[in-house]
Amino acid sequence: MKLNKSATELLNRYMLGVKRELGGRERDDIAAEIESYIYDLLEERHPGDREIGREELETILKEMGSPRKVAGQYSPQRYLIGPRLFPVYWLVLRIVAAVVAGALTLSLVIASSINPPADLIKTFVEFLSTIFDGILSAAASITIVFAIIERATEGKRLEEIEELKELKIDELPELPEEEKPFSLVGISIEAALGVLGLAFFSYIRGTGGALPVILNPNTQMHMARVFTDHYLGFIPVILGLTGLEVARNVTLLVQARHSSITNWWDIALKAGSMVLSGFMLGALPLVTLDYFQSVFKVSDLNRWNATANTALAVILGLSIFGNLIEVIRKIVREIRNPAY
Amino acid sequence: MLLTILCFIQYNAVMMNIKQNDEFEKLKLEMRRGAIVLAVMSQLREEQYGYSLINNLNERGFEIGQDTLYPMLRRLEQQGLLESQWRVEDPRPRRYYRLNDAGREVLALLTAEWRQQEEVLRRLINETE
Repeated sequence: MKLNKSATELLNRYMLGVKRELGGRERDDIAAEIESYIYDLLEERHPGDREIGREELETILKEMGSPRKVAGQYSPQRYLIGPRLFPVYWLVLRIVAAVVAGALTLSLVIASSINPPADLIKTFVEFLSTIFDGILSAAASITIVFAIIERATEGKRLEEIEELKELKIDELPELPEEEKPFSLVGISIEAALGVLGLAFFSYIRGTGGALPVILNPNTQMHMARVFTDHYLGFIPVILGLTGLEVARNVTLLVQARHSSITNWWDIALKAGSMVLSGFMLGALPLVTLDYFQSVFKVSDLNRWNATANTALAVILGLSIFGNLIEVIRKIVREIRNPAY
Repeated sequence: MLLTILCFIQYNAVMMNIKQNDEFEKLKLEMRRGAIVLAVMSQLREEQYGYSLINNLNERGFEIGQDTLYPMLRRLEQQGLLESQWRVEDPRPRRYYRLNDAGREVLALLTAEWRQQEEVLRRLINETE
């Protein structure tokens, strides 16, 4: 059996492609065996002394596939991070992402308390972008480190990994102390309150922080302020966070259970509230007692305003502290014993 | 409207059928994977080159392609179960493979294991039928 000039050229090109894809010490040996197989196949399909043309060869090569495919069958399957390292990689990734997000949030709360930002929405968007960049950079670095470990330890037995595979009874996760029972009524009430909150803050935004004062149904109604202009600046963010809380409650109602997504969503909202409280703390005074002055005719309004804002500062401080504890507790719980 | 619904139902039925076939093919491949080594080794008590081995197995009803066979022969040789040599017979050089002593021992063990598993599976399947 003999190939004509065109078929010979095609076969040589195909084999060159295969060799280039193969690499390694056995490259020529493997390529020779593949070529021998092609000749055997041609011989069986076209017996006799007839010269084999390009078309006959092309049919066989098409059945075999590209040089990359043929050569690929001789290479071991490779992973960026293989199944051996992946559980450890995933654990480290979650811990680092949570630590980075927590550290950045805390630093922003402290910075905004010391030096209140001029443009709240811009600062908040920048904060979200910083968190995203921080987590992405950390994840990329961890991925590169694990990919290097994967290559460097390919085929080797890693004692640390083997240890992780052993059962240690003490390290089994504790059963969740407070596995949140799903309460349809509770979530529905939370969702309804969220909608009312949205309506209230939208109304307050429209009235410039004032509420109607109705002392006597026969007299004309007038408006009196409860919130200062500083507070009004925060309302878009408050509306955003409340909207997200309502959306979370609706998601809970649809899926009828707490899941990993809704739990992390809750953590993000609590972290967002903490940042907001930090900004608000740096932007006092936020409330005015004009409304109560209209109703109760209080004397020495300035002193009462100062007292109310001091009380609000204490509440915001406690809220930051409470949210911080809650965020850390929930992150730890979600990492140690994640919902599914 | 009715035609659209009928077309939709028909389309879904066809797609489901295709999916089920795909799943079956995957399971079948998985089941065969473990048996390929035994099938190949069983034919290498006598010396053979790759293409003749493929034909041999296919003629006996065990389908195998070059993309599976050649890498496997190389792996078995690296594991020290086969020996091979290039020889010029007929007009061209061909690589001939055969089991070495270690390969024959492993083949005997694998065959015994296969027969035992076959028996266990036969009982399990008969129990559920």
